Amino acid sequence: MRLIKSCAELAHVGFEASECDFEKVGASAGPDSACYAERAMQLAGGSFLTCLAALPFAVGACSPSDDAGPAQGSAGQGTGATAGVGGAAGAAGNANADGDCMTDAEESQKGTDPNSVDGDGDGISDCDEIACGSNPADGAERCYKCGWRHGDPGNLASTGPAVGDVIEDIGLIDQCGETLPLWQLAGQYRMLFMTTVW
Amino acid sequence: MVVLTENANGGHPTGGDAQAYADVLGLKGFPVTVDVDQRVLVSTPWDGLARPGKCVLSPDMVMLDCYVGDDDTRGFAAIRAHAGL
Repeated sequence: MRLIKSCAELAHVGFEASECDFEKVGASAGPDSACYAERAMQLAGGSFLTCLAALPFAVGACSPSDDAGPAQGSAGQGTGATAGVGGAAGAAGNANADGDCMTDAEESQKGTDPNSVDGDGDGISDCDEIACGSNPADGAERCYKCGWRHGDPGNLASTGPAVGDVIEDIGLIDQCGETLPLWQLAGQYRMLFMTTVW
Repeated sequence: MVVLTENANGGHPTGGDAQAYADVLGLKGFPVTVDVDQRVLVSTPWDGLARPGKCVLSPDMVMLDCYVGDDDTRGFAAIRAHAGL
């Protein structure tokens, strides 16, 4: 977990905080997961939910070490196109035939071609796909223009329209003009703000 | 995230409405979407009569709570309860 203290740091993880005062909120966040502290919620009150809905990463419970401890994980992991995969990828003796961000062994685990920087041939490099949450071994899955991560775990099933049900996988269209199935936004708390154009 | 269910004329929205809405309000960093088939009206408890409708979703897409209005205290509490905070 990294403690995000400022809007500048939010920008570092690709989020522009237009309406959130994170210096007040004191949200803790990492590139793929995040937490928020009890005191932060108390400080922010209801307005924090607006921020919460806007966060581009998952939100979960904090442990005391989340706020007090140093950053965990590789520096910059998940925020750049050449982010490492699965931690230290540079162990001595690990071959990397195509010279990208993954060793051959990691490419094997991911199902990508160790001899090609774009194993699925979709025009987006394996590393860029990993950075944007897309499957680098699936040529039909590409990075969203707006930067959303592909979060559908593949095992969801709608159970009905009531509170307590798994919601339907609604086919939405985002502000970049792309189809965005709702379940691709799984993995994080979300608030649907349902309204009309005026 | 924003889900638009109608265009300015009360009809079904199009993809361009999402971009226009986001641009006008300066919304960045989270999804602003259109529901061209108005599925939220049948997939959630919200009937579309009062706005905004809100549904809080857990990370596994379970509707934790749905309500109407600008006060997010209720949704906030639903997240806290689900997260065990």
